[in-house]
Amino acid sequence: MSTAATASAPNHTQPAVSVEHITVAYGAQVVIDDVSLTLPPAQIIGLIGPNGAGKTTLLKAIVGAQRVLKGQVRVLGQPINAVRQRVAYVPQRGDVDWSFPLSVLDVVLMGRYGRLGLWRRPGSHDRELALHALEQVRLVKRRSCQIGELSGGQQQRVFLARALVQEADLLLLDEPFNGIDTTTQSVIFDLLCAQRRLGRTVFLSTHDLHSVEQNCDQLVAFNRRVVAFGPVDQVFTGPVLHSTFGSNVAVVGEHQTLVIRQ
Amino acid sequence: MPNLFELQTYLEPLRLHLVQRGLLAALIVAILCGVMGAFVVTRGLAFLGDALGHAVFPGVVIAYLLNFNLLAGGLVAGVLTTIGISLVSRSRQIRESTAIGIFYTVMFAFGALLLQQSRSASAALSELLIGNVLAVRTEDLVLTGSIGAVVLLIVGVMYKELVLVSFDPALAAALGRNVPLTNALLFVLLGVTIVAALQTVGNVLVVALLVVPAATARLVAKPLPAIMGVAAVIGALATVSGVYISYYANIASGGAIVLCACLVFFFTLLVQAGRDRWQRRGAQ
Amino acid sequence: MSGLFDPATFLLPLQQPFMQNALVAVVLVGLLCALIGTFVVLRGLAFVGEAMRHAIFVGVVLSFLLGGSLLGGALLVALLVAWLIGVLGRQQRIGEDTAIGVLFSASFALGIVLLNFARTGVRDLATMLLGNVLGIAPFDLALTAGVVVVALVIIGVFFKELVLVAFDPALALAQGRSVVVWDGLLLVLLALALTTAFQTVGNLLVLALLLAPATTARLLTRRIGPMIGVAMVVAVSSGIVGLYISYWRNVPTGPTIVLVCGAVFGITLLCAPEHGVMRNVARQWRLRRSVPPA
Repeated sequence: MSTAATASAPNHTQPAVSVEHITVAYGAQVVIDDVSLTLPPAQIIGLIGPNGAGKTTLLKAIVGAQRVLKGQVRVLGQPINAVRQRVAYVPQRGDVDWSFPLSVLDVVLMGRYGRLGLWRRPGSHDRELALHALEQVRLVKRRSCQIGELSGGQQQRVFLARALVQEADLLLLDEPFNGIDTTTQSVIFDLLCAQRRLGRTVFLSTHDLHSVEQNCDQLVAFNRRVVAFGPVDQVFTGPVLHSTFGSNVAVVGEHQTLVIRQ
Repeated sequence: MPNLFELQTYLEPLRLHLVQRGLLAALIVAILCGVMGAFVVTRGLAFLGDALGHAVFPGVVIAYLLNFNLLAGGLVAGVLTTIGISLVSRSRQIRESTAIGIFYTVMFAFGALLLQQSRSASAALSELLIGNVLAVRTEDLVLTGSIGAVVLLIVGVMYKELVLVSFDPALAAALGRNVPLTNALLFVLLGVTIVAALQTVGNVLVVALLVVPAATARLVAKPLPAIMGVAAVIGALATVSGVYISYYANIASGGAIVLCACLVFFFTLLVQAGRDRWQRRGAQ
Repeated sequence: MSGLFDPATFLLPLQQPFMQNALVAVVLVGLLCALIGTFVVLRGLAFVGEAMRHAIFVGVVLSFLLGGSLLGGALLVALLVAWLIGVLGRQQRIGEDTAIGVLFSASFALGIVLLNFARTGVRDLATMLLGNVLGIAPFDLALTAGVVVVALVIIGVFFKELVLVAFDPALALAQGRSVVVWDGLLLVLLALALTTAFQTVGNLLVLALLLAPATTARLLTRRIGPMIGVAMVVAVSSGIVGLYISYWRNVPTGPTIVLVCGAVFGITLLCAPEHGVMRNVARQWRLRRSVPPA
């Protein structure tokens, strides 16, 4: 797949993300070890690696939600604090309590909070944007539901809608395909492709190799450090996957990969 | 201020029978709490332990008013509370911690109202709340001793099951183990331990003896049996020093015991934090 | 007790000034606890509240010994403990649950030992733990009213931040909002509520007033605004009912209020239209009947 840049694209000379020699540790345990990575703009980039590889930590370090012990992170050419409005982050679905008394629309409106700042409340313009985003993820009819009434795939789409209303130039998604059906997966990928056409960059983590193989432009194979980074067909090879996933992966044939997780 | 370097300082209190009994009872409780505390700390049951300590209260009061065995009364209330909490927290809308918080306060309020019915009870209330090692009678000692023996025996026999259900309930279920029943057993053992500790450290501080030594042990030891052992030793040391301090300084024994345990915890924590920082600097 | 339908039954007790004060106190504390309890329940801070109320005990004893303001001392120690919970809980080998357990053990033990030195003053442990709303002073009432207003304003202004941090801290961080700051604000409010409610229902029982009405409301509502409203209604009405019962039956007020709260919660848990136990059982029974036996 090639990338089609449009006229209204954001600054194309800047890398979307550049990470230089970052190290992250919890206590004395190092989870990200001296990682450097530069992500080009206007692409869909997949972050693959086994459970516990530090994928979530890397995403959190990029959005500034995880303190970095050493090294430097720049997003859209600037420190994260200067460009927070232009970055949307979608946490793992399992990280929040879905029985929380919030409606679907309430959750999507949270995406606007970053732009609203401390004192303003969401107004009719924000509401319109939120409804439009819900239309895009085909959930506008369920806007008044309590979020716990939705299925897993619908919940993931609510999170995506929340990221869309931020109108961000960089979208970071943590395991968006965990436990959802293939229909939802293709809905999500269609929307992400639309984002790419607008010149926006998508960086998503997953341990499901089949989905990224078909839909991503580039892949980062990650296990505490960058094992490989490049176009899908270069990264999606037996040796790379083997050294990323260790003995948990068995490679069958040239492009058929069978991942055995514990 | 007694001379700390003279043997006499340590022997003198032991001449008194009430100190002997109290110390022995407190030691049994400390060891028991060390073993059960290992489960409490590794499974994050501190709040449940705290709540049980309070929730046994109405049972104890009813037993007191009916002139019945206090420990038995407390045990019944503890078991009922555990069942109630586990039933309520099955609702998706209610977190376990919230269920615990509501249950124990309501139980305690019930106990307090009951207690008000009897005039002589106010002194008994504060005794139960903060405990008094020196009020242990011989029959209490025998009862505490036998409870301790039974609990340790059950933990010994069922050790494998308890550990399996605690750390991999999915596997345990797949192996055909009855997970809810085994968990219930663990909670009942916890309740029994708490009731046994009521008299020595009081119900507000029981949870301290459960949590603090085991938390300290967890900082220095990894395998569960080691945590149990270290926790029992720390608990015993804290108990002995606490009893001596309360004897000489004339302060509440429960408070003194717990403060000693806390000192050990914070000291260990500081040493560990220093070492971690040192290691990380070495790694860079 | 005269007839329940006779207005005099309810009005006569109110001719006594101490009952008037108590009624106002109960209403104010009910509003406060419902408001802050909603966030405590949603953020899962029950155990933190438990630790803070132990810390408040130490604060009261300490400030009594040192001769400072009781409320001030209580607040200060409660916040110190909240901060320590944050620091210790982040240590991987301790965990939040254990950190809280250790800290409140330490503070309560300290309180009890210190109480030894304050024999003459804070002698009555039972009053401290169970509260005495009938003895509340007008100054304390004014203070409580002030705290209610402060809490209402803060939560009104920062509603969206508090909700966001409670629901999805990761997103809040990514938006550049400091979770520590907003959680800290919530903890300050919690400390305020605990300290203020100290006198009404007592240190031991205040947790019930924070948790039970909010949880009851959670079973009945689907959004946060209505949840706060229902929690307020439950807390205030339990408070008033409890106060009257304790007046008529001559039993301590704090525990009575808590028992009424508990009863309301229990009934709701059983009968709530959507999440109630009875509804769930009926649903399962119908499901079982609709599936033909194999």
